Order: sequence, then structure tokens, then C-alpha cells
Amino acid sequence: MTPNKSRSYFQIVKLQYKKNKLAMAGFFMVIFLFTIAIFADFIANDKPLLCKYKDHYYSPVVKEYFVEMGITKWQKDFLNIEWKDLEYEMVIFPPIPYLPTNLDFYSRFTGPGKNGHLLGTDQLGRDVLSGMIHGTRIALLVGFVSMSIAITIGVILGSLAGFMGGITDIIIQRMIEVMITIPTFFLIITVVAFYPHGGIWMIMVVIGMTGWTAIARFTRAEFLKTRNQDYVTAAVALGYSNIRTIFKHVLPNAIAPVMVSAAFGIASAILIESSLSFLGFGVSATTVSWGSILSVARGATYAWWLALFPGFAIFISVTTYNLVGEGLRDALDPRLK
Amino acid sequence: MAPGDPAELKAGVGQSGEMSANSGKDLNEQIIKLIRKQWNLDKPIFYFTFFEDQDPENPSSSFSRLTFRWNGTKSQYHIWTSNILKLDFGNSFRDNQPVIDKLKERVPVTLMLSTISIFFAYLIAIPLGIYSAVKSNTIFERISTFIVFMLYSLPSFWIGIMLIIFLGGGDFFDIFPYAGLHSNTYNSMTSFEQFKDLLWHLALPVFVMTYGSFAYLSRQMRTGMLEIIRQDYIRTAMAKGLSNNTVIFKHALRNSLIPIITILAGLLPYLIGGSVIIETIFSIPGMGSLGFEAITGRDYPIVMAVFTISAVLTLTGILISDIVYSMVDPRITFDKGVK
Repeated sequence: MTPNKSRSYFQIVKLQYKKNKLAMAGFFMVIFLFTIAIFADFIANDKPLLCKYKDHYYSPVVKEYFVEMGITKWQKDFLNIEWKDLEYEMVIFPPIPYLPTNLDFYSRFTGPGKNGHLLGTDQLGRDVLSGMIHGTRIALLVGFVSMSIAITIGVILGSLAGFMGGITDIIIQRMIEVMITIPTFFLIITVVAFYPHGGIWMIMVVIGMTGWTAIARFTRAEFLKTRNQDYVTAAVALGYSNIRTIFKHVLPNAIAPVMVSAAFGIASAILIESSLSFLGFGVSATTVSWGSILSVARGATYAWWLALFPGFAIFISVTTYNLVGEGLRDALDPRLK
Repeated sequence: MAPGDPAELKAGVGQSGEMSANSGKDLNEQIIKLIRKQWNLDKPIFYFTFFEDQDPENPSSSFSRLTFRWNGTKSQYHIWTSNILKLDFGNSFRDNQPVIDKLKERVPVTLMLSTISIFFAYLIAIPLGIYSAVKSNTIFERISTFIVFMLYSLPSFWIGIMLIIFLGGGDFFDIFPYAGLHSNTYNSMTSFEQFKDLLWHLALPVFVMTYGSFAYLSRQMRTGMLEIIRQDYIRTAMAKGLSNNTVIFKHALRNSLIPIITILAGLLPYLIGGSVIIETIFSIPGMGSLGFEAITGRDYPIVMAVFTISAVLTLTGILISDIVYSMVDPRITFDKGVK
């Protein structure tokens, strides 16, 4: 960077963030978790990555995507089979040759390292490591989808309250206060328990709809700060519509604290989903998430591996997002360092 | 999972009801109707009705069911509110006992648990927070800040279940009991033994409840202290030649305690509401597990009572923290126009 070129706000923030080693570690962990979530099918799957069968090469893992999209169909040879039992001429299996849904009644409650299950199995013989890898998807999905909902609601309400002031502000502030008085976790359990067929999407929506208050308050505070600055007055004077002024001119300058609370929010959303699954309310019985593996350990306390490993995964991902949130906060406000 | 309607649940339809012969079906429906009437479940929910109920025999779109009806005093909400004003929380659907009796039974348990854990959390968090702010950038400070951060991110239900597995007499150590508050032989003990037994049972849940709030508090204390230490008046005090201890404990500590005090007021709903997860894991008969059982058992009066109490406590907490704020920090007023 040339010294005479002035740095933009976000460049400064980026520089500050990069100085913080722990925050950078958190950033790389986020990338790592995303990689696992995206390539979960290639890391843990009962189908071969690549195989040579009857003189033809196939990649069943890739093919499955196309089959699910309805583009192709499985050949007759591959319908209703155990992939392990086929006689291949050449085969490469994924590093963990199980799906989290593969039942194995011969190795129920197997300890780690036995019968080819690296981290053991649960009461139905489902592989824990595979469940953890595919559970990454659910954890990230819950974190990001529910926080997107919360950010959308929070930013819109917060900016309206901060920019408009007056009666709008009063109404929105009262809405926030009503939300705060409701015990969030209790409300989420209630909604999920009363509508058990909603599944994972329902949980995301509920977490999002209850988690926007902090974001709305931060956005409102930022808008109050920037509302009377010259460039906002200029935008109003130029006759721009309120919506254009809010979203194009003020919001980009007010978004920083939202990012911080979004990072912390993702951590708490992951925590909420896993505690719901732990209590038996979360994902449906056929889906495997970190919390649902942990909940099996509640009934079988000798199976310590069912508690240790998925819990550690929850811990790591919560820590990761907390680290990112901390790093962002310190980078945005260097005084706190 | 239980079916949705508490009246059906009460009449036993759902699991066994569907298997009974057809002749029982009419009777079942009559019973359900009676129960619904007794619990006011047949009345409209709110003052206004915007959508007619879906008729199961000929389903229609929600648009064609759009309506506007004034239900007035016949609505469930009105009945509930007027009872609440008389401090009548109603009777539990499950055993027809007054909800207020159940609350009286459960609140002391949760209160004991959370008071002990908050006491310990503050006891450790405040000195540690001060220390790590004052001795900033020493090795001890860095390690303790890192550990506190890790504790802050540790899911309490994971630690709870791990403690039960490893210390609660599974295949590993059998040091602590894993459930309840008393041993079976509690009634035949001397009072000193009873006290010891209670402490022994409380150890794990209190630990799990404490470490999380401890981590949160000591982080708050540290940030608060760091902010204060950088103020000009602290520099002035240092420049006057006052000793380190005087500056920290006389000048800095008071102001940095303000946020910590307001957090205490924010803990009010938690003091009585308890923690659903920890009470469920350790089978402690407190408010959290009462609410949890009520939700799974569709016990509406208890669910409503728990929500109401929590809302009132939250509002009281906010009010107290505002008042305390203006008392300890005279710069803050609630007068309008001073800005």
C-alpha cells in the first residue's frame, strides 16, 4: 500500500483484525468448518469416490448429486445394494466409509477404534465421526440461516427506529422490550414442542425471530450517531427517498457493530440448536446433529464417546465464532485493546 | 412426542385411544368435549377472531375463512388475564393442583441453587477481573484470559453430561450423585448429615451453573476495569504519587463495578427461572424443570405462569438496574432535555 493513498475504514479494520492472532485462528477455523460442511459427502460416505465396476469407471458420490436433482438415474446394478459388498475391479472409498444414517446392528455402542468406527457408534450402530462431519452442515446452516433472519429483522427495525425517530422509534423500542421480557430459550422449546413436524427449518426461523433484539438496538444506536452528520443531511437535502438514504448512505456506515453481534449470534444459535437436539426437540429422528448424538449419551452414560466428541465439536465451533466476534469488535474499536 | 391438544392428552386419546373399539370413540369425544369446556379450551383464544377455525370435514383456504369477530369477555385471554390480576394462576391440567402451590414448591430449590452459584461466580470473577486488567500483558494474565474465554464458550450441557459420565458413577469414578437433591436415606439422617448430603448433591449442578456466569462476569469486570484505568483521572491519581493499591481500589474499582452491579439486576429472572437444561440433566425439581415438564405435558396454566413470572422479573430487573445506575452514577439522569 502506498503511503500517500489514504486507507478506507474497512482496510483499517482488516489490518487491525490481521494483527490479532487468535482472531485469525478463528477466521481459519471458520473456513475449515465450511470446507468440512461443503465436502461432507466426500469425506464420510458409504459410496465409493471412484470405482471400476464391470470395466466401467463410476463415481457414485458425484452421481448421487445428479440422481437427487433428477438428471440421471442409478443403473440397475447399483439399486438396493450394499456398496461395500460389490466386487469392484478398482475402488477408492472416502476416508470414513459410512453415512451417519447407516445402521450397523452388529456394532451397537461400539467404543472408539473398534470395528472400524474411529470414534465409536451409537445405539443403532451409526458411526459417530460420520455423524459429526455431516452434523457440521446442520450447525453451520442453523447458525447462518437463523442469523440472516435476525439480521434482516434487526437491521430494518433498528434503522427505521434510529432514522425516523418519533412515534416509529417509540413503537419499535416497545417491540424490542416485549421481546426481551420473553425467556427466549423457553419460548423456542415451547414453539418447537408444540409444532413437532416443523423440523430444522422451523428451529432456524424461531431462533432468528427471537434473536434480533440486540442487532436492532445496535443499529438504532449507530443511526442515532450518524443521523445528524453532514452527508446524511446532504442526502436528505438532495431529495433522496428515505429508503435510499437509509440503505445506501447510512447503513454501510452503521453495519460494523451488526457484524460483531452477528458473529456472537451464530455461536449462540449453534448452541441453542444443539441444546434443543440434546433435549430431544431438535432435528427429526432420522437426521443426525451434534446435539442429537449427545442426547443419546444422556440415556447411556457408559458410552462416554457419545458425549465427548460431538460436545467437543460444539465447543470448537462456538469458540470459533466467539473468537471471530471478539476479533471484529477489537478491530472496530481499537480503544478496547 | 405427545399430541397437541391437552384435552385429548387428558382423555388418553392418541396412544391408546385409537386402538380402542369404535363404540368407545363417541364416549371419548364426549369426554374430550367436557374437558375442553372445563378448561375453557372451547372458547376463542383472543379478544378478536380474524380467522374462522378450519372445519376438518371441508377444508377451505385461509382467505375464505377471513373474518372479524369481537369475542369480548368470553375469550380465553380475557379469562386468564382477569384471573392473573387476582393472582390466580389456575390449576394444573395434569393433576388439578393449584399452580401457585407448585411454584411455592419449586422456587426455593431454584433460588438456593442460583444464589449459591451467583455468589461463587462473583466471589471469583471480581478479583480475577481486576487482577487481569491491572496486570495487563503479563503471562499470567494472558493464560487466565484465555482460560476464561474457553470457559465462556464451553456448552454447559456438555460439561454437565461429561461430569455425570466421568464422576457420577458410570464406568469411571463414582464421586458425586448424578441426580436429585437428596439421597434415599435423607429422612433418617441427622441434620448435619442432611446438610452434608445436600452439599454433596449440589456440587455438580452448582459447578456447571457457576463456571459459565463466572467467565462472563470476569470478562465484563476486565473490560470495565480496562476502560476505567485509561481515564485521565486515574493518570492524575498516579501522577499525584498515590500508591498503586489506593488508585486501583479507591479510584478505579468503584466506577468499574457499575456494569457488574447492573448485571446482577439482569440476573433476576435467572435467579428464580432457573436453567432448563441444567435442572433437566441433573433431575433437580426446580422452576426450569417444572416449565420443561409443563411444555412436554401441554400443561398450559403452568407454561403461562412460568412465562408471566419470567416477564415480570425481567422488567423488574431492568427497572432495578436503571435505578441503581442513576444512584451510583450521578451523571446519568432520566430527565428529558439534558443531553
